[in-house]
Amino acid sequence: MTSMTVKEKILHVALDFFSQKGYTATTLDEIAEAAGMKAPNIYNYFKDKEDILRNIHLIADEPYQGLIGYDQKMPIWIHNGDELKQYTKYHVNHTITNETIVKLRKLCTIEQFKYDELAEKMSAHQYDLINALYERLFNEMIDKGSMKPGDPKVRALQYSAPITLLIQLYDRAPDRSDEVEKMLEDHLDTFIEAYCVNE
Amino acid sequence: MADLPIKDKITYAALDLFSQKGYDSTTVDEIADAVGMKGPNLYYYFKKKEDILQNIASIADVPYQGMFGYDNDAPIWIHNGEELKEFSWFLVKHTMDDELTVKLRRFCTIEQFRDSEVIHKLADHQYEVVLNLYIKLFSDMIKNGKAKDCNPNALALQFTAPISILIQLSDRQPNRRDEAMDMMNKHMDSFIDTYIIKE
Repeated sequence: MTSMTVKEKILHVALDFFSQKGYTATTLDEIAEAAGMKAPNIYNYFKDKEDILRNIHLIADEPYQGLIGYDQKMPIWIHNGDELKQYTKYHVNHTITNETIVKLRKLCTIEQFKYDELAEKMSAHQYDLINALYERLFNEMIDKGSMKPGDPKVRALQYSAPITLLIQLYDRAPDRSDEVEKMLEDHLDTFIEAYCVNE
Repeated sequence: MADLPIKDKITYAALDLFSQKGYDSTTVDEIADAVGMKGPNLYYYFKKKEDILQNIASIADVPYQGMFGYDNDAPIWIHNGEELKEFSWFLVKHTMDDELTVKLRRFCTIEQFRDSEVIHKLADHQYEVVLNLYIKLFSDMIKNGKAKDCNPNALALQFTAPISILIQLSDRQPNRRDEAMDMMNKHMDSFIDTYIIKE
């Protein structure tokens, strides 16, 4: 936290409030106080509360950095169904346990219809980025013969959508984690059985 | 709308406002205004804003009533991929275009993290009603040798989740509706090709 700029610190503090009490109910004074500054000083960094919301994306990508697969240039070493399952479970675990990611997801969910930036952010993480990642992966697997032929773009959606939906269910009802885990397991096994080629 | 009981009129007006501005930002006076009555008169029908939530839950099933497949005892006559696709497109169009369904979905989406049992139940219901329908449908198809012998829960999730995720995409970014519809079509064809047995 020490290497954070004041701007980043304000964004992190604001995200805490927005995801807990909602954007509307949060005041600039609260954010300033929690960031350890006097309220008027916050205007040196942001024009108003909405300006903070519009800049939340500046800290949004940070928890994804270094996560395997998000860097388009990095090769992904997945050769069979077992490795696919292992990679996905690691990925899901990161997505549901990283606090910043969870808070951002909740904030975007609540405010997506009011702010285009948040709608785009949400689509990027729940649709475009995740599908591009699996499309690239499945393309390679089909190429190497470890997956049956097919349109990798459609298949990526068929693989990722149930996972995204189960994460949404988990966010809303953490008490149903056993059920979510069972459904995830059933989905991965059924998909791998249908599409992956045994060595 | 004209012949609705006043209580239901108020409930529909409240849902309209809640789904646009959010529950907290909507005042009782605004709801009263929308149905053409004075604020204090509304208290004759609902003692507090929270009581309207209860009534929203009771109208949530209205758009589904009488719909093919939603009655749990009614058999579903789906024998092949063509019929599965036709039935599913009918459901998708209804889900995307029926005004009450759209408002309920938006309301549940933006308010799902609120500490309210009514909203949690409503959100669960929306998710389960479709999933359970397809679990039943695929169980029947597997039993009758029309679908591959896989876990019906996983099949139902794999069929419905991409559609749900694409509806979310279109709700959030209406300019991507055509793209979403195109992907849905490709998804259904690919799913049928993989899991439904050709006659």
